[in-house]
Amino acid sequence: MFSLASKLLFALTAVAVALAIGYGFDVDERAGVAIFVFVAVAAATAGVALGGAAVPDLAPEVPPDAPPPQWQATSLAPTPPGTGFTLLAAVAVTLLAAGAAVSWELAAGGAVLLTVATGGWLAGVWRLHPNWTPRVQSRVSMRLLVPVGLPLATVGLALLIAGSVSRILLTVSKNGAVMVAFVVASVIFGACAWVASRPRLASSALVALGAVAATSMIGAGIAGAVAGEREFHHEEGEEPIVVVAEEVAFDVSEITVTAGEPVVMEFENRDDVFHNVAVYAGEGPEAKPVFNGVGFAGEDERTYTFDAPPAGRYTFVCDFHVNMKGTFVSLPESAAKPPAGAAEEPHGE
Amino acid sequence: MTEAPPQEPGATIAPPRPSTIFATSDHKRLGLAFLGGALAFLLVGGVVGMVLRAELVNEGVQFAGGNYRRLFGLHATVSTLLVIAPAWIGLATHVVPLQTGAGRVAFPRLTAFALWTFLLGGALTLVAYLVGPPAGFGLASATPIAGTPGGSLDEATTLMIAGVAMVAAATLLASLNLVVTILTLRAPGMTLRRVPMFSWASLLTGLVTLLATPVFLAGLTLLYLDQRFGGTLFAGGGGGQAIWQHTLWLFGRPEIYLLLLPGLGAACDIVATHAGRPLLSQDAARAALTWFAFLSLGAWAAGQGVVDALVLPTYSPLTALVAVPVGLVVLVCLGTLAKGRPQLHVSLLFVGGFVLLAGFGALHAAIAGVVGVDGEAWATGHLHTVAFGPALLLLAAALYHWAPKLFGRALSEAMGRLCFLALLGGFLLMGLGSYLAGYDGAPAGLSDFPFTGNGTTYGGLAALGAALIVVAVVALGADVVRAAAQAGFNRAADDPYGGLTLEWATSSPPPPHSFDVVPEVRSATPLLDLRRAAAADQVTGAGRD
Amino acid sequence: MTSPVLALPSAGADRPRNLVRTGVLLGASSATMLFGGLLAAYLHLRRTIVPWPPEDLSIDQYFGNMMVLTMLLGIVPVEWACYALRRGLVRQAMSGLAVTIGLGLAFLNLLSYAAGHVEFDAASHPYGLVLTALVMLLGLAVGVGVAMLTLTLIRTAGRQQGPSDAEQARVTACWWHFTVGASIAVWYAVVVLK
Repeated sequence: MFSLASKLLFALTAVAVALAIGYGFDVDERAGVAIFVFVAVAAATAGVALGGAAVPDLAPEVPPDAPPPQWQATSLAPTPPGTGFTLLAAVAVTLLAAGAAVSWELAAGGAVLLTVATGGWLAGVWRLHPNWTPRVQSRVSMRLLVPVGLPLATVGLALLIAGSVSRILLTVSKNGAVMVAFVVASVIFGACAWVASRPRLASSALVALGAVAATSMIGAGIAGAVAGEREFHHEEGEEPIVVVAEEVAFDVSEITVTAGEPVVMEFENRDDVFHNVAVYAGEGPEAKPVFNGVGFAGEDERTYTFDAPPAGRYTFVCDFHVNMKGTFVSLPESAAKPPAGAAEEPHGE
Repeated sequence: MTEAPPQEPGATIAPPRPSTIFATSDHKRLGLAFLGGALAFLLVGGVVGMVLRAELVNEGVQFAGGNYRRLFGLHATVSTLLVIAPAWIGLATHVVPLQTGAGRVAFPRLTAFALWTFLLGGALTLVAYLVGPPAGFGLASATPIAGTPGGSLDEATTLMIAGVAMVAAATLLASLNLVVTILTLRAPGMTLRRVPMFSWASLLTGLVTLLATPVFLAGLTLLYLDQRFGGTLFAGGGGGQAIWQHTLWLFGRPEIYLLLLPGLGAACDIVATHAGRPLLSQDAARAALTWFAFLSLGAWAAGQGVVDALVLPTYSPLTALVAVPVGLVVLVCLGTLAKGRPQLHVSLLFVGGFVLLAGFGALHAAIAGVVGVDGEAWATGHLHTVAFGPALLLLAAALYHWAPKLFGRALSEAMGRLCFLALLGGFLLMGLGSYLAGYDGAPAGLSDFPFTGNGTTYGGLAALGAALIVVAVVALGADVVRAAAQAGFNRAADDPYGGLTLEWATSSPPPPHSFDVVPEVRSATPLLDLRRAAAADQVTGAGRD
Repeated sequence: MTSPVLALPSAGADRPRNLVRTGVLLGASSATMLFGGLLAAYLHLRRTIVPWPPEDLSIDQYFGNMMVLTMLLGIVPVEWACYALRRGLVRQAMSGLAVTIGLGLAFLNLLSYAAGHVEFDAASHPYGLVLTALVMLLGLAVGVGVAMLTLTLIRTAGRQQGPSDAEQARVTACWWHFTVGASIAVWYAVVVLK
């Protein structure tokens, strides 16, 4: 009933039990005894598992007058075909292991790659089954792979392109970024047009093209990320306007901007009640709103951005406290630009 | 009657394109890839070892200096994990399915995954040493470093843990594949008692690996968490250190024996083949190998001379006992040679060299037992003399013996003899130098220590030995590369030695499907039975179609 | 001359049998040693570090008890699935597999909830470290089990598993039973022995 392999493992179980008992009496050290016990349990389990028909260990009786041994054709089923997904899975495990050591992002990438590799590997196994007919393959493809895989692959591709190209664009100069974007778009368009013009293109050529594209894009993206973003400078006159609300009063009474230019306002609320900054053309309930900043309670800071209204005099107020107001001047573009945020004494009326 | 396939020595066949290795399921190519990776790592470990030895020739720090511990750890880790065990796995993956008549492995894609994981994990381990020395942890150390409270991350250490864990997992998967192959895929009529000795040894090696390696992985998991999150498990003495020593050495001690076990099986097959007769006692040899495997699990403990080591009482008596099964195997082999008609082959030289080297080590073990040893250098020499040296010699023997199947052509006899002399001489010299230094009280693992009067002589002997070993490795590697590059040209005969077992029943190299026909198996030497039957037919003239 | 008749279970021209089952069972033995190493570490530290568990660290017994019960409940539906598959009752087999998957997901959900609500982390004390390792590997083992169940369910739906070939279902059930055993061992060490 039990094969030689099972008997071997049962013998190992007996040896491990004996060692556990002897070790326990002599040393009385828990870890060692526990490990020996587990060796015994594992070996016994394996021995039982390998018993019976699991491990064939039979040979026919050969009578003394039997004819001499002869050559015979092999009857084993052929080796299943190999797959490149094993290498991909190993790469994924490497990324996972290295990522666990140094960077969780790398580990996450490895996990995603491992999922892809496992899926490809399993698909290869399932295709070997006699039940896997072209019809089944078509149904699985249309009902599962295409509805799920295609959107995921599309989103992934979009993220890959956006992520990689954005790193490049943020690294090169402003004009260079325009050139790069134009070149990348042209290359993608040209490559797709070329592929579309060749209906009989071999899949290996497509794969090679895709691999080259992915490698160069990812490589350039990594290079861009390592090089770092270029410095972004604000143009002259775009210095943010700083306004502070404290004790239900603004710290400035007049704000001056240039008509048509973007306005960047850093608003700090030092009270624990709601304040905001809003700009109106005129005063009173009939005044026409130009800009209404989001209100918030302190202590907090927000940055408001809006375009300066046409040249003229306006009023800036707090929508929550009618006594908080000041003058908002929008100068014509040709006029000289006085310093922003003039008049420092608090003005609460 | 189905005729045996015609032998066509000297023919030329087109080898497969190299790029197909990335998606192959042919166990022969996968086995060769394992072997190739192991030899590459052997070269790295050997060169680093030579640098270490050269540093110790003279007193004072010469050139290794601050990097000595890094190089020491690199040499120990590479030599222990990345060379011999994967080489045996590669050889077994190639040869065992041929010996059992299966013609395939049980899980070819899992083996391919294990191969790439081993190569990438080994590369990651090397990267860890390049990034920065993994602080303290290495297979040369019986105590890991403490976690760093506060969570500052030592990337080199965690990378090394990751790399070593990958290699251990790859070894585990490849061993699982081999065990299942031997248990479930054999030619009709081949029971486990008729399985050739190398396959039997591979089965035992695989079973012990399946039981011991996971404990190491458990220890690595704890070490990783401790390192990554700044824990204190391994910081102080007591609990943490003992746990590490258990989890490391339940893997490490069997691992040392498992470096030798497949080699003993290979030696039995080599001797039987070149003696032209079955082993004197198959059952005795099988029992001896089985006992060797059981003792490997029982004899775990930290090495001697390590501070705060947990030396278990099981260590000394069970380690001494291992001489019994080894001695039994040697006796069976010697008896087989005496009773047979041996034809000298370079692989037999390597087997003889193994016996010499092991005997040299046993002699010094006896001397140390009498006179006592002060220096840790003795243990380093002993490890090389009784574990690594014999394992490398037997590995070389197996490569030269099975070269017609591995590469389709025999390796160079002249190069083989050079390799044998350099390897044996190198390990003898290095062992002698280390032993003598150990008797003198020299420590191990330090780039500089006070020399006694003969320190330079002993260091010089060991360095010369290390240089010879590197020469041997380069010679072996060159021979293997030449044979692999010329694979398919002027191929060898199917059965150049008059072999006894099934791997000689197919062409050299075997076709992708390994076998077209297989002889009926009625004993442990099916080809010998066929030849005897054919000879009897010729004599009697009876039984022919 | 005729070839001799070989009256033994030949490997056959069809797919070799018992490969996956033998492999998974040996793999389970190997995984037993993985948990064994960690439990040995836990038992050793329990003896050498006092107090154990530390006074300021505690885990709710309710989580551990519910997790083990959930795993135990899964034994019946997975065996039911194997039984149904051997008799060609595909819908029942799929139901059994689906229930087991649900129980596995419930286990993982409870495990992640419990892990997220403990008041200590891996680095604070050796207790936290060993517990983290045990919980992580247990979650991994059950996760692999859920993945195997899902794959078996898909293959059953695709008629690749049936009365003539139920090996994957059998193997999946064996792995599930192993994870149940591992859960009980971890629960006993952490919740009962403490």
